[in-house]
Amino acid sequence: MSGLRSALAGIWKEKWINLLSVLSMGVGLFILLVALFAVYNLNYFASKLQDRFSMTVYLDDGISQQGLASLETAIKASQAVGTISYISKAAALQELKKDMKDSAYLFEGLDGNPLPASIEVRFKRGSLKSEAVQGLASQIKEMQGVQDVEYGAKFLEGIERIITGARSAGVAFLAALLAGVLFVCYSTVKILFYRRKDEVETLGLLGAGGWFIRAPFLVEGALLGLAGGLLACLAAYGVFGGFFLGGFASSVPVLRYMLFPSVIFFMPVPAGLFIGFTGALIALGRIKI
Amino acid sequence: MVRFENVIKQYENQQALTGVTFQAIRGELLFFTGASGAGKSTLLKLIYRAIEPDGGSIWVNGIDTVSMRAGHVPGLRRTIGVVFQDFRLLSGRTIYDNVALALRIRGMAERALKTQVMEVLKMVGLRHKSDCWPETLSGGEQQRAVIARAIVAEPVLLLADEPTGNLDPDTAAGVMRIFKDINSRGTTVIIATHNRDLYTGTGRKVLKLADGKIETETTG
Ligand SMILES: Nc1ncnc2c1ncn2[C@@H]1O[C@H](COP(=O)(O)OP(=O)(O)O)[C@@H](O)[C@H]1O
Ligand SMILES: [Mg+2]
Repeated sequence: MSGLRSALAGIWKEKWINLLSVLSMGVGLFILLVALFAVYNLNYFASKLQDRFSMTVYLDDGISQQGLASLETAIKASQAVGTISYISKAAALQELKKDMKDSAYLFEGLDGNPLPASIEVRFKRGSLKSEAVQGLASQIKEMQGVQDVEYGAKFLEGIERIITGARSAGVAFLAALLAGVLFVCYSTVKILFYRRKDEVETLGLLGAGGWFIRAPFLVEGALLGLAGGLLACLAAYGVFGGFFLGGFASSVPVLRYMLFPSVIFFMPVPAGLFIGFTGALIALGRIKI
Repeated sequence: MVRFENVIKQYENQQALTGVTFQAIRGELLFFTGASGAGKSTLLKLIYRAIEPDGGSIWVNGIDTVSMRAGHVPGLRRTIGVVFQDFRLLSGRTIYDNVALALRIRGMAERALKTQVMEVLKMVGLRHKSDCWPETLSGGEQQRAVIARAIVAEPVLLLADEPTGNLDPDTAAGVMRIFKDINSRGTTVIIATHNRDLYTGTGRKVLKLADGKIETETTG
């Protein structure tokens, strides 16, 4: 309790330094927020792309009912496989005719059905790995009654590259920003601590223990971080709420499809609190009392 | 209570104590005297372990403070009340908070400490100044505030470094009465002073420091 009180007194006493560090932390946390949105949406788009990916297993014309059933069971046995659907020869032709309505004459002289029956394989989200798909494809290719296996290898590699790229760039950027915000708080508390060196020394001579001395600084760091977080939150609310969602966003197509989950909006508040406290803790950690 | 054996303290190029041996027994009130620069403050700082000796042995409350672990120093200091020569009042805190600090450090609850703080402030004649900032007090008032902070937690050992340096003779006499009062309630009191008036006629032990040694032991 007295820790909170002397922290508030300390904040007021050094209001300009504190205001400056709250502003820097607020800006840092705001950029962090924007970066989080970007990473979140890239991930989201990439996973939507993943949903479009499928593998087609073309079947021999002579495959038996029993052969088909055991083939389906074998494919389903793979961990990565989500759903499979069987497309008969007739259905395939139907589909083709529908697609090529304008060129119906092409089918006029057609004798029988040249299209093979197939199984369309879709994968579970997150299990879509280039290597796994490739492995499964060559495995299926060896199975009885399979004519050929086809999938968009280039497409798959592309998605993978986007996902890993976005993730690692995002993580690196977020880590750098976090470290920056942490450092602001760290140096603020360090400065405040050295400005009150006399006071700290006196407290020590009066018999105060390390935590009694640290407490107000820790509270101060946490409050600064919290204030920075609230500032970032408010800024985000102002920018996204007023500017993006009110009119401007609808004229920019990309923004219309972006997601703004509210969890991310409030993230700067606990993040600021945590970073502020941690920064103060590190700043005081090595100080000899 | 406090025992020094052949204690040596050296600053960079200044021999402050060249071998001090003495003992203060529990419940005693004794004086250190000597010219300015004789080493009185150094001696007291060694007791509350603001500094460490370069040689010899020191025991406080039966604890060997020379080989004591750093983590135990705060606990040692909480058994001691110190009237610092340079006051060390915290600016930005009222007189009340400065005095209450001694009790807060010892973990006393806010409700319990209020009466105790006001009582001590009354004892030193600063009750009306409880809400003032230290800077607004006169030298003598600040000195009494420091005394209040040193005694409020009723320490077993009280160290006073020139406690009457800024006081007029009447107030100084009042402060001495407070020290005697505390001493009569069992606290060991060690006073460093160059003010002869403080100890003459008290009948207490007076140790005179000169050249970093105890030159004479007399009775005041
Ligand atoms: N921190 C210090 N650094 C260097 N010399 C010091 C320091 N403190 C005290 N001294 C020297 O040690 C001697 C004793 O000082 P001190 O204990 O303050 O004497 P007193 O309190 O009796 O006046 C003096 O000569 C002083 O100059
Ligand atoms: Mg002195």
